[in-house]
Amino acid sequence: MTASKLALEMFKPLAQKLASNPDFMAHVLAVYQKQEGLDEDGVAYRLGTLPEMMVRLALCKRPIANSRDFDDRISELSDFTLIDEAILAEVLHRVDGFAEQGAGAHERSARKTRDLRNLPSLLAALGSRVSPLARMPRLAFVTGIVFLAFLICAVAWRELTRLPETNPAIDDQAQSAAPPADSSANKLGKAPAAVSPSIGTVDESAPKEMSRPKNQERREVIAKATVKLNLDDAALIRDAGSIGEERIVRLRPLRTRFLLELPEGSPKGAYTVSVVDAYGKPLMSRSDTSRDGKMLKTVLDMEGLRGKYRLCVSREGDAPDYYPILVLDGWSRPEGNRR
Amino acid sequence: MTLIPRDIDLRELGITLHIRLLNKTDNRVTAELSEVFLPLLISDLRRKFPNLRDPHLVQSVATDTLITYFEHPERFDPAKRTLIGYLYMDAYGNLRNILMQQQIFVELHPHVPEHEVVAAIAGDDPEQELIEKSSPLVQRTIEHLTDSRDRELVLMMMDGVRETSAYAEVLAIQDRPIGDQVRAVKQHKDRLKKALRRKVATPRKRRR
Repeated sequence: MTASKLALEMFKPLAQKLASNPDFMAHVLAVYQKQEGLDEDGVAYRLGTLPEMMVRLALCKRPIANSRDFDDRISELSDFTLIDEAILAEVLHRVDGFAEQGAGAHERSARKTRDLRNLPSLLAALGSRVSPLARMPRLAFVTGIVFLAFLICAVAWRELTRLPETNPAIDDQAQSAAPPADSSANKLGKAPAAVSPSIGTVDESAPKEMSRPKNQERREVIAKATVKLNLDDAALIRDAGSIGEERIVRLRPLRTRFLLELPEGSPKGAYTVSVVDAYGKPLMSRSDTSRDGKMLKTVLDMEGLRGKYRLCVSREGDAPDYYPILVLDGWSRPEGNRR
Repeated sequence: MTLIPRDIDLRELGITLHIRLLNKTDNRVTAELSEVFLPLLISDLRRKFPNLRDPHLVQSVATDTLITYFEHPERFDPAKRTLIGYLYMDAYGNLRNILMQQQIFVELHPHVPEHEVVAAIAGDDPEQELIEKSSPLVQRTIEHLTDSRDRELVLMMMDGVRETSAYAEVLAIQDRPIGDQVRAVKQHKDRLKKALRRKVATPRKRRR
């Protein structure tokens, strides 16, 4: 038996016992494994590390997600175990999100149980309120019921007649999503030119779905800007601070169509493209299919975002890749996606 | 702590790690304590109880002893004995109780020896020595790295070295402006992590 196997045999039981203690990363990994339906090797593969380093991570205490020095703690653990910082942060975030969901479901379930337990007393209370009605003269009672029915019908009718008026907010969005009427791109019936920041190429061709919005479903894929990224050349990173500023993809806060040239050898199929914050928390996410394993097209709404984020490209069963993006203020240097 | 303390003062190391554990702000100290003391604890107990019917009993008791220490570090008084001595006594007592209950007590050495520090490994090959002296969990990782400078950097990372200057010295970039040094060190760290990730990804069907 190799020294490595011996080491694993020695430390694994400790990690397994620590899995019941929420203070330890062993617990986090156990929850993550269950949540993602993976085996131990699968978790190690997702973390991009060796089983030995995963056990080492399991023996560490977990950083508190909302602590001020969370980033430093993650960075320390990353150095200690040689696991990607962003992946570590994402695992913690996912597990914490799962726990919150679990707590929410438990609370809802408890509330339902409480409600059911209170049902007899509620019925009794309702009965006591209704019983005086029985003593009312029958005609007055019937009149009251008819009046109530009339009132309900009137309200329903009013609501129904309002339906054709569309939501003004949606209309505004539609107008803003459409290319400006006086733009040169619009004159050609094309979307604006797409320029990659520093690692892609200028893409003068317009995406077809940007040309003329026809209905609300189409509006979802309308982009106001396009960015073409070659992920083979893009800076694969753990965080934006790890590379030079010039390699960060600069974007405007617009609904952006991403044309992602996948790295060589990528399989075709479903991919998830997300924008995640410094803690690995997904701010938006979208699943799209690459038909040829070469190009992946997706639209993400960058409106409302400002500052440094990471573009996460992941595929079921594979470790995600992260690319730094910088969403500039609307009027800042237009180096990335362009109208 | 990446290096096994074969030639390190265990008493001093125990105190240092114990203080870090008490501070409760250190996320990696439990792993370091485990890597240093669990193998020693298990080997000492196995030497003490060599003919146990259940071969996993020693492992289980040693593991429980460490977990109890993690949960109640304040019970250890560094003024009274060394950390390994404290852990050994605790584990020994627990194991003895279990065996007494099972009435299969087989003690070979009645005295409780203080842990012996094994002499430093003799050898001429410094890289091999580096691997052999590493924690068993770290050995395979280091073996993946062929460059001696990379090995040194990884060991520094795992030992929690945070100062850029230390890395800059290894990388021989201490003459550059501090901003460049920080960037270069970060790049090297990320490169090493990425290299490991690629090696791990190789056996499976890789995406790229």
